[in-house]
Amino acid sequence: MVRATRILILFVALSLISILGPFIAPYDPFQVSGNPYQQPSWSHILGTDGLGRDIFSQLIVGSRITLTISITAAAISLAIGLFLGLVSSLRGLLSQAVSSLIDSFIVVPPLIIMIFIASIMGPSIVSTIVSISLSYWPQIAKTIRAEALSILERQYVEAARAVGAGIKWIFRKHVIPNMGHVILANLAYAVGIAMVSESIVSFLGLGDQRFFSWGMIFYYAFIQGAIYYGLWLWILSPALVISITAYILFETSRDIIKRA
Amino acid sequence: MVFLNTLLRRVLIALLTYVVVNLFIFTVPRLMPGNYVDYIASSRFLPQQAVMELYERFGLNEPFHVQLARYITNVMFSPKPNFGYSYSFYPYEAWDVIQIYLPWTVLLLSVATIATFILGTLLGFIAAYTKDSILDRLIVGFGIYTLSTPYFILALIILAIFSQYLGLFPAGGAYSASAPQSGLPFIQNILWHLFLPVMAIAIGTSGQFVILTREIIVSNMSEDFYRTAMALGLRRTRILIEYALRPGILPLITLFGIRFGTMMSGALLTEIIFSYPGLGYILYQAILSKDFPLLQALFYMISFMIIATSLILDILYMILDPRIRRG
Repeated sequence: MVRATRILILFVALSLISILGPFIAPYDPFQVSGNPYQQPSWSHILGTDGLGRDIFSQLIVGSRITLTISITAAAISLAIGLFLGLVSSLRGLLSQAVSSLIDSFIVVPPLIIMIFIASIMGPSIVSTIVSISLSYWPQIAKTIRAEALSILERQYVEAARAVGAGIKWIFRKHVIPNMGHVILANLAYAVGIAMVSESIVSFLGLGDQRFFSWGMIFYYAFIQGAIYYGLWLWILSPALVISITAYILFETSRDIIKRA
Repeated sequence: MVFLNTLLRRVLIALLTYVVVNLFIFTVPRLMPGNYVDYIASSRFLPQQAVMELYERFGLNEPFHVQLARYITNVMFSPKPNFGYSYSFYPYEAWDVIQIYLPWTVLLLSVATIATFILGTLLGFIAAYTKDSILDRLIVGFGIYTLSTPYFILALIILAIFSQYLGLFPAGGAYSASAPQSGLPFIQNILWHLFLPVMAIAIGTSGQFVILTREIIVSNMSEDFYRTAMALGLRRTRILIEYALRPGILPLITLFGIRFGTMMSGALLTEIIFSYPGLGYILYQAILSKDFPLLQALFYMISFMIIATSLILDILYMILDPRIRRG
């Protein structure tokens, strides 16, 4: 229960920040509000970037883009993974084919697929979402398939089969309702991994330059020489926000699986 | 017999994976709106006639199945896959560019692999040895935390501390141009440049090994053979290694096969940060200059390496696992 509360607090806090972003940010993140490369001070908590824009405001406003990208990408890859995972747990030629497709794609590292698609599509928010969601579905499909197969072997499913239930009925009544926790765990995992992936795509210069996301702030910090100027908070704050959020999501995902 | 059957099935799966990956490389660029020629044409303001000429030369106005057939003969089942000229390394073909940079990645990856394995098993062992203590929690927490941190952040922090502030190690490259290019000093120089990237990869990717090693040992602690060994009065370290860790070598090898791809990605990103002249470095160049032939060749090469490695690891697993070996 404690863990559930934690994730709820995180979720509410993040959504509040991302919805209210532009209103609670002390400055307009796109406007110059001081000298460039300022060290952190009371007027600029995390300092300013190479153009003199407030980094703290960028972080607050950027949360909206980051959340939009990671939740959308996670939802899409979960939908693909869920559908293909369920199809591959059936019997027959089609499910065999889908199974082999999943097994083939799981070998290729998601990062490589992501870079390939993102660089072909060019930098935009849509390309970031598409590239992330097309790279993580095999992992999700694989866990979904394993779970569906284990449910299909349980006694109550056998009993249902014995009295003549069709496969569709079994999936609707037994398999899908019993997978709630796996789906939830995968969703939490996927949102976390999408957040980390967004920062990787942005770091490689494939992010949308018209917006601030946490990954893009990190990218700007890197290319504008934050290390060289000794502006540690500039480069560490987006990194920490990403990894702490992802950490909580991964822990939650592990917890849901362990509890069930 | 069972062994041969399993082996044959595994090889078939690897072949199938190879074909699917190749189809992916072939199809994805063709699904996207526009193609290389359109991209070149739009950025260089080429006249219509030149665009038509380029279309003709690259065979892009031919029907889909003709292009696919050509891809199959020239790339998929060719000893020297032909991806065409690289844009950013122009007089070279994409495949030749990869051959030049590949050895450094192989070197980095093999050293990093050994380091990750040792670090992961060692930390997992310490965590299991001091189970439920603060140290154990710290190690497990660190393991999960590294899983949720983008690889390059760690690499950047390491670069900043050890190279920029302490000045102990070089900031980039594979060797110093001013140093002697042969003999022992050269090898020393290479190792000196190798240290920080290897450290970044090992710390960044060992998390799952730590957690798995710990879980294997802890779960074996409740087995009968462990209790018997305890009753015999053997030393605790010896029991943990011989009775609790050794049965877990097989799952560790499997995890290794699964994590090899992650390590590969980690190596690519780390190479970018440390400007290490391997595949990651040219991957970054290819992204920056929209060098599609090189991107495709890289995707091909990386997938090929991973498919081959996981096949070899699985065969190794079959040989090591008596249940499969003896049938």
